[in-house]
Amino acid sequence: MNVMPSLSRGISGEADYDTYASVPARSGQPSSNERSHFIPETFSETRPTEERLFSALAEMKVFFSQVAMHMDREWRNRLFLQLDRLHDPEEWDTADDPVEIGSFRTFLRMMFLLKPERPPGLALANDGHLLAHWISGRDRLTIECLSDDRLKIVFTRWLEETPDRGAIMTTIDRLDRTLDPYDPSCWFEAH
Amino acid sequence: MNYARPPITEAVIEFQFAGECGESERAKVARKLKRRYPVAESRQEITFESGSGGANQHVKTVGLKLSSDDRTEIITLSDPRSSPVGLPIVIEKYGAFSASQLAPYCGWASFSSRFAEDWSIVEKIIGWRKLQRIGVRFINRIDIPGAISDPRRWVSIEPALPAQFPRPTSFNMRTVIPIDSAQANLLVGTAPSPLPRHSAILLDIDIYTVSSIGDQTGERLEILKYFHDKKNWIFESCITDDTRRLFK
Repeated sequence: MNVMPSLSRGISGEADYDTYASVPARSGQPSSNERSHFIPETFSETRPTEERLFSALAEMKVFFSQVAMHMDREWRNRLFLQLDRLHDPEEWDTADDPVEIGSFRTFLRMMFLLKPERPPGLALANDGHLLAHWISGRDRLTIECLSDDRLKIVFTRWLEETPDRGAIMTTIDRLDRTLDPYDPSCWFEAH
Repeated sequence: MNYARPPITEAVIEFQFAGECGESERAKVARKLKRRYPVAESRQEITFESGSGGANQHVKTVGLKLSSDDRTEIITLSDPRSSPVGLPIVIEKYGAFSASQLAPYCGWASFSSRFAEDWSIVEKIIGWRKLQRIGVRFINRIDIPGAISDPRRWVSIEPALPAQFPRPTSFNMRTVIPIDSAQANLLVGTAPSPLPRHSAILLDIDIYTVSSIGDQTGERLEILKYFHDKKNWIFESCITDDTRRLFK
């Protein structure tokens, strides 16, 4: 009889990948694996706000590591600093929601496609949606990242002394076509 | 070969050892390594027992995970674990100390020195241990633009199927390759990519030995270096020039 060889234990999602987990619905086999979970030690006493912020930041940073090899290192450091500031427990309003991982995933995938030379400013909208914004003089672009690659765009673009203003719902796949008539280089390219 | 954008999503070095390490020892490790790993999490096992007298819940701490602020440098120190319901099933036979490096990968020299430094601190606290298993594992995810129409363009291994079968759209293979007195677990398969408009192939290489592990730190570190060289050899043998171009 062949014995299944042991694997060195890893941490990431990929480390749990195996020939069984990756195949959907095998007959006669449970679909979930036995897992144990890590609990933050700092929260042995109940501090729900800090715990929520800790978990949200950890989840985002671990997700970023999955695509880190495709992202600029300098931007990564800046992004982590922005996220830490957005989730500062000292400044936190308990009625707010930390960035939701689905929104962060959309944001990163959008950034991968856009590859802007100028990184965006970040803010937090309702329901844990991440807002990315670019300002260039009077020209403003704000993109609210929803889950599942959906985007809510609001912009003001001055072309020949007349402003065009718009609010559009789109997806990351269609973003370039949506912004193309407004010459988005004013937001994304370094001047 | 050094690549500008190595596809390594996680590198792991692991020492498995006999015996337990108590909660107080793990707490000492956390304190000693707090500067490098400020984020501490404990691994807890919760067991429920029910009987005529009612239900009881037992919580036992069985491991420690320490992470850097950016969560890319991680170490774990775990106790052996048996089945939580009292069945004679062993889930993890030995205690283990492991270091993980999530992407972006910083290179072997830096990663292996971090492991050696951290292990020397852990060993001072838990005492010298006979090692039962040494492993070096590299999990690579090769992100490929578009769909994968022919896996052979990207990797040199795929399942051998009867000629009359159509080409598979996805596959997963697990093979064990003897490497001198060690073994390599090689897991290869198609997987979803987290990047838009991309597919992925996972190439997971885990080289380990359960025999001929020296008792001296120097000998153990030499084994790790040897495993790393073999890992590179396996990786380069499994990929194609088209794949190499993706990492430049």
